[in-house]
Amino acid sequence: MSNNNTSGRELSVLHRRRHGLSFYGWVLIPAVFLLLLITVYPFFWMIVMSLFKVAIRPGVKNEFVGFANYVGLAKDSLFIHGWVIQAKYVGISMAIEFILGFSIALFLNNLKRGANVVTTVVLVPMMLAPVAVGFLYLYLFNSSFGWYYWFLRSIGILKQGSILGDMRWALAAIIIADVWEWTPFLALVFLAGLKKVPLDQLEAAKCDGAPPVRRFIDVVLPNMTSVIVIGVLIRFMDIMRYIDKIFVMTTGGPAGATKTVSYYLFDVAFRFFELGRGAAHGFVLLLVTIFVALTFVNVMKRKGVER
Amino acid sequence: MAANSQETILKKRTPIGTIITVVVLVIWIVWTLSPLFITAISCIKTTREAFETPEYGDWKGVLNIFRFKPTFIHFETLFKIEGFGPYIWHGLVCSLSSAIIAVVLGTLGAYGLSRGKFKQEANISFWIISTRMAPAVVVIVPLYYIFRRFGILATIPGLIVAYTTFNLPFSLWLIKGFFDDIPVEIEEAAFVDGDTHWDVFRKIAVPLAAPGIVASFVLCVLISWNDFLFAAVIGGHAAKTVPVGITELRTTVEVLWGPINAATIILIIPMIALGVLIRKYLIQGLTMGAVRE
Amino acid sequence: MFREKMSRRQFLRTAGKAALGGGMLYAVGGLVSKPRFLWAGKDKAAKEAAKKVPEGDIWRQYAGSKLVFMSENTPPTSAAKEYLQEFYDLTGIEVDIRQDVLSTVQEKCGIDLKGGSTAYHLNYAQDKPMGTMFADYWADMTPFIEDDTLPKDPEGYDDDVWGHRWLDVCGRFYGEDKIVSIPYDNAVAVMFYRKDLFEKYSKDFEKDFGYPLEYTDDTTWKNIIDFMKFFNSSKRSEVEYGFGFQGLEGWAGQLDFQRPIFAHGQWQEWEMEDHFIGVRNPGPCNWGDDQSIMTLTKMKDLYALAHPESLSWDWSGVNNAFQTGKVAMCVNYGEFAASAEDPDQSVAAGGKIGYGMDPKGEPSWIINGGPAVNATNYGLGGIAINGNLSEDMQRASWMFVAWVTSAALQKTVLKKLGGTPTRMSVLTDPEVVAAAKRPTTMPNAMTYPPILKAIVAPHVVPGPKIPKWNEYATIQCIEIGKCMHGRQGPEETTKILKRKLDQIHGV
Repeated sequence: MSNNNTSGRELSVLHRRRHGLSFYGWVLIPAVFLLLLITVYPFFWMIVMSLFKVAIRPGVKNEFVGFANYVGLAKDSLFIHGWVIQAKYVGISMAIEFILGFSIALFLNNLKRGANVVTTVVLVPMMLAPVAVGFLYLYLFNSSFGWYYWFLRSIGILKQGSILGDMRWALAAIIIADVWEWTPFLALVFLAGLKKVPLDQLEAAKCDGAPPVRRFIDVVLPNMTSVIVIGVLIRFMDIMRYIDKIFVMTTGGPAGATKTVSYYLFDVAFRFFELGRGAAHGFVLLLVTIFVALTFVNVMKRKGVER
Repeated sequence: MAANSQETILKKRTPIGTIITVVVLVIWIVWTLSPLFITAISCIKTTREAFETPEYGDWKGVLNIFRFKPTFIHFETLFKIEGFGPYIWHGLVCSLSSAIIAVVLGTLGAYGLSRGKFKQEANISFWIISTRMAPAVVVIVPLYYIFRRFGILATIPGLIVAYTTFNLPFSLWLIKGFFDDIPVEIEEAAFVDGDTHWDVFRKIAVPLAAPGIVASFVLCVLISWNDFLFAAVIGGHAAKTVPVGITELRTTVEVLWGPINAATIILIIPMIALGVLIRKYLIQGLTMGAVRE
Repeated sequence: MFREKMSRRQFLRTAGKAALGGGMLYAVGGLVSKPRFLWAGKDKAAKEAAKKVPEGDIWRQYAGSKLVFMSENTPPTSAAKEYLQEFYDLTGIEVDIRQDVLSTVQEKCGIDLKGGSTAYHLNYAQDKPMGTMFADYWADMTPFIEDDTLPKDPEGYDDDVWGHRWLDVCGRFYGEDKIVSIPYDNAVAVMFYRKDLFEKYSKDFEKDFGYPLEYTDDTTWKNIIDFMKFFNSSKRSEVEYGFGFQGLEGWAGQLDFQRPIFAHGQWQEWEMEDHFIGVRNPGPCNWGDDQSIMTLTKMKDLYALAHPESLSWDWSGVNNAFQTGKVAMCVNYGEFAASAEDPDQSVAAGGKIGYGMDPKGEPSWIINGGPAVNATNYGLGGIAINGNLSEDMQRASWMFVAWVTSAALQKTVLKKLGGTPTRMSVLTDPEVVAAAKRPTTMPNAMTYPPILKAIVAPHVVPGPKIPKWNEYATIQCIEIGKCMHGRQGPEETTKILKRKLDQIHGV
């Protein structure tokens, strides 16, 4: 394939095709093959199953029902309300994590000494399994022996009662756990991005006499768009998928106050065993996730350098 | 180095700036570490002692948290009665193996995707990452049935494959970004000079993207080691991991908080170790390429 | 040549796509309809072993097989684990017992059963969360009971050897002529209360409320409100609250709500010919009638005074609260008596606990003309055999069923570790009856006098046994939970419940 002719080769050879594919194509095949094998089938299954009503007794065939499962979703108030809760959970968590993460990144960037140690310490929460974080906060918020509960009662914010048992506070508790666990991730990503900002542009802005806020908006942010996209996208994907904390802390309660759409899917699939309905449910969830992600990416593309 | 001069320019610090920075970071660190501190200290107390909290508002009483007799009974319970030893092993094997597969195939594939002139590149790229957006519950059911058919259900290889379903797309997508950021000119120059495609890949592209590749590897290990849902449904008993083991400590009769706290500590230590070792690469990796014009 | 290559490549590509697509459809189609049972490995061992049976030893027919029992992590199963060596010596069958919380057991067994696979030979068959959904997937055990070549307990398996109609509750569903599970453990709800505090404060209570502070079979839910008011006061410093409910969303919560609802006029969501057997589609529900609205209204008063976590504890929460002196009374499951009486865990240990039937309905709250009863419900766990197994493996599994539900083992477990027997012979055994009084070596036995009174008509409410039980329980817990939290009024709640429950049944 190569031509070790020391007189040099044309770049066109770089993309020359053998057996239909260039080197780059060949090298891509193992990954794509494995990916197709293990992800396309579930995807296919999900779509097909969503058009069926799965048998509830052995010996009975699955019944083809077309879009009935999807129509059923529209009529299911738990599904609809699940989106409201999901939106609250995702929106509030990500907003807090974004702002806090950025702030911490800025402060970390400011450190002269000890940045390494401090950064490592800051990273610790994201190393812990979401299930374990769930248990951690279940422990901390417990009304009998939880230290956070004790703290809130002692400073008077909480008068009496329980946190995870209160419809108003349960979701807040889960959001707090999520913020604790994942802000470090965004902080890390933004810190990396901050270090990437070209100093010559910053220099120029400073020489122009721009105040810090202006420098921030005009120089720092645009250079960080790709980093912001990655961080936010990964975080968004994960928060939509993971139900570990809810599973451990409240199982969707109390009275459905933390039953996000993702968690409700777990109920439908593994407690009611309505797999057809679950497939439709999951498909809608996937579509919404993709749609929101795409929209976000496109918006950011227009704002700055994109990958 | 670029970073240093950036620091010197930006860090014309004011005393106020330093104080605020320190205060904020100290508060943040306290907030970050206090749950873990409570866990760590509770796991070496007896359950009864761990449950003791002072009266509300009794701030001095908080110091009682330090008054206890250390005991390792919870760790004993974990290993002897609950059998956590194998869980740790399963977790390590599955997460490392899956991460290696994902990163090796991912690096190759990402390179191809990044450098190759494909018409549908953006779409393929997005398709790849969207496979990771699928709700785990919906992916697990068909995977369960496939694995059962091939007899790899509740086995270590099965769990490795299950983890690869989300590690591979993630690696592909992330590492492609790193390759995208490396200017093609270097490779093109080397190619024109007579290197083969493989040489260019091996000697130039990979080393340049190394921080990103390492970052990807670390994140894959992290996510696999910490996974619960896949291990719970597909791992079965023979491939049980620590997160699944922890949920089993919540029995019908009582929640075994002592062992749960002990298990939490066991769970996080390998990952902290990994993070400390690789932190430099992690941060560098997420800087996406050290080469700047 | 160039054109040839192009078309060949194109052809291959198209053919490849078609094959892939076709293959996918076939594979999916194969899995959408019932997959063929492919497991043969364990079968062979069982078959081989069966060939070598020595004459007369029916227990060892399947020596060499291996069984997996997927169970909830309840005391009887933990106890059975301790005796597994005995089982192995008896039968030569290796049993691997896995334990997990109920929702996980449900999940794992469900995927196993519905997918036609046989990872779990034996399932813990909790009557409502699992039985109602999986009854059709479990093996019919009637042939095994009647088969003389299989071991049986000398007592047999007739209806009357078990607690009242417990074989129906566990084993018979929807009028099918099958027995799909054998009663294995019982968790019957009874009242645990701090007798010592009742005695200590009887004068004060009588002064404030005008009647004696005592807990009897006639104590009503209205009395409970008074008890709550009394013990919530800071003057009673030994406890924080008077009463706590079980809580857990979806299972214990449904049972919690059902008790006061049934206590008042024996109100149930659906009419059924036989509530112990259940029906597949119960038709329209009764939510929205006057009694239901009245009961919900009164329940709000109960929850307003109860411990705040009464709507959200997990399994052991209220028991924990009782053990640590956070509540003076709670409706709890009999099996928790052992831990409540354990001085290492509980401040209520040492003779301080009294046990009684669940509270009676308050007559003044009944407007549908029905009786006031001590509404009692339960979770009866059965043990069932995976219906996907081959006949030989089913028979091997039966060995374990017979052993673990035998009178002898139930009695041993009760004596040693606080089990929850299901056979009347054990529940009424003279030793056990004697142990119901203090001092006792079998704390659980103290709950049997009220339990035996409560599991018969008119007090017991076994259902509703419907296939969509899990969804019903979820909906009910959420809506009634919202009502108890003050988010929606009783009448509105009943309207919503009627609409949703009718919707899931296609009414």
